[in-house]
Amino acid sequence: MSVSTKIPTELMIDIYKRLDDIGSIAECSLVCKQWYLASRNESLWLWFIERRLIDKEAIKEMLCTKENNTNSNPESRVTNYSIYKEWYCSYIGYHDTYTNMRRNMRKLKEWSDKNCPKIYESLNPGLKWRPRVSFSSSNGSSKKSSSNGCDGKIPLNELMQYLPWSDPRLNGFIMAYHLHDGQRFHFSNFSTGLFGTFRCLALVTGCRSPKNSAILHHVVRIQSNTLQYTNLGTFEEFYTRYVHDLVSGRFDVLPANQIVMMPNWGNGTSHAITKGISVSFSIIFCPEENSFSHTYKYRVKLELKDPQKLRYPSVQLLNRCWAVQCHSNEEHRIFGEGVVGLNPILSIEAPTFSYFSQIQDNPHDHIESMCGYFEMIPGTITNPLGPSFNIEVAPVKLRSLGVNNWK
Amino acid sequence: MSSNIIKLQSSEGSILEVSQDVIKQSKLIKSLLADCDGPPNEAIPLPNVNGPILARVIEFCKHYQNDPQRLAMNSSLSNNKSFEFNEEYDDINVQRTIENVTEWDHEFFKVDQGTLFDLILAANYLGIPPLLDLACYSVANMMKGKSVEEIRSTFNIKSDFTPEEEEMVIRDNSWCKDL
Repeated sequence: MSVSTKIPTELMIDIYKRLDDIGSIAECSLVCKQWYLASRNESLWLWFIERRLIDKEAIKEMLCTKENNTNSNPESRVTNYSIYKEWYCSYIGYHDTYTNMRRNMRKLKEWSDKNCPKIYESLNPGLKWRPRVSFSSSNGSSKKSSSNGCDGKIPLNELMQYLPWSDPRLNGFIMAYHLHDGQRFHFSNFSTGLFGTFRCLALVTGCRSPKNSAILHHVVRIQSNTLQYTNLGTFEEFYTRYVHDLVSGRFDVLPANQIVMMPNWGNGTSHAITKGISVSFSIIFCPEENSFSHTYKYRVKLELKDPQKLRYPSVQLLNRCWAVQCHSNEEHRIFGEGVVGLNPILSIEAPTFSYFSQIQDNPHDHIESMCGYFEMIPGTITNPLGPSFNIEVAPVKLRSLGVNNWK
Repeated sequence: MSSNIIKLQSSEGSILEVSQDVIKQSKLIKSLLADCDGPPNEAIPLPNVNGPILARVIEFCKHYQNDPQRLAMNSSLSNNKSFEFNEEYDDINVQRTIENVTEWDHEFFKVDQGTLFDLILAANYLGIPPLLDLACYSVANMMKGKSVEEIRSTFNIKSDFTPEEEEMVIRDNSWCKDL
């Protein structure tokens, strides 16, 4: 009698879990009847479902629709095994992507529950990011639909031809629409949005990965009038990065569930503190505007961080000055009264002020970098408590904002 | 008299002495001890574990006695809830507790099949999740990447399927192959 026959089914299941390889479990199920029974155990497949973060209900729905369509026998009830199988066959080449995306969504859910519950709905990609790959389901042998062999290169020229967005070949783009639907009405406000402004985002489908046969979804940002694009990586990479940024507070969220596009740190930001007042400057490149000159949108956040250093109970913004360095090395100075028509007051009671604005450059002499200062007056303009002083806006290099990556 | 030492009686009647601190990694013994005031004078009978295996189990517990990480690690096999994902940003792959397999573990599980299966049974009976985890992992490693025939010969198992049944299982399995 072989030693292994003393292992009860329950422990056989534990061994399968440790095996953690569907193909090997399939081999084991052929060894003998006891091993077969263990390989079909519901708790084993529940374990796999949970481990893969599979959305059980969604897959169940997919299964049920399928069964209704084929009018199959009533015996084929929905089990954990059949759910896992359906998931496995539907996402071939994407299993890790699926799990990672589900983890991202979970992370996002946790964060949005705490901060802004509505955002989850608009940022949840659902299952639509799933590649539209057809399989012959009857015998289980998978056959990928012919995808245009593009040798790992993104077929962007083809994509551009697809741009009429109603084209059915643009299945992958459904995602872009889906993502934007929730917040489309926000686009009147240029400083907030989802992954960018509407039509700036597109997903490219049907590119073969150079490494394996998986088909990649790429996220590219498209300039709507010139069709210039910039590559933002695969959707998984892009989304992982985005969720991480959101959760770690890289983007502010306004009370109306709008996500501020200007980041709080990283590329295109600078921070300076003068006399206890911090100035955070963030600027982004806006490709959807006029393509000859470059348009940048920026946010300035002023905050009274250290009232003791300031030594006045309040301070009011008098003037602003921007120093814009151009490609030709020429420096332009833009001087003006107030910001966006206001002269904000910072005090201990109201220590912060932020505003959004934009700057457009000369088509023949693009902006390289910019910095500046605000002239502040202690007390208020009508009731000054001392001589005015300047607070610094640290320089930001605009070259690093991806302008030159546009093709 | 050290009150910390308890006696365990193996299936063939041999008595092994072990410190309570060591053996309380066993959920079974821990709950047995919780039921009585102070350490029992009598040996605790363990009819499902033989002497040599019990000695190995004690060796394992001794080794991990002062390893809080391992002790805290609930078995990911027996408890679904304990399977938590690392929320680290770059943790792309599913976290595997088994990545913590040490050199010592490898040496410990370099045993014959009989002993290995006995260790699984003992770990399950005594309730020692880390031991069960590692033992199952060792068995799983003997199966990984092998064909049915290879597995049957490794574990010396004879098929009890009829050819028709076997054909059916092969068909049923087809979805998880051909990748």
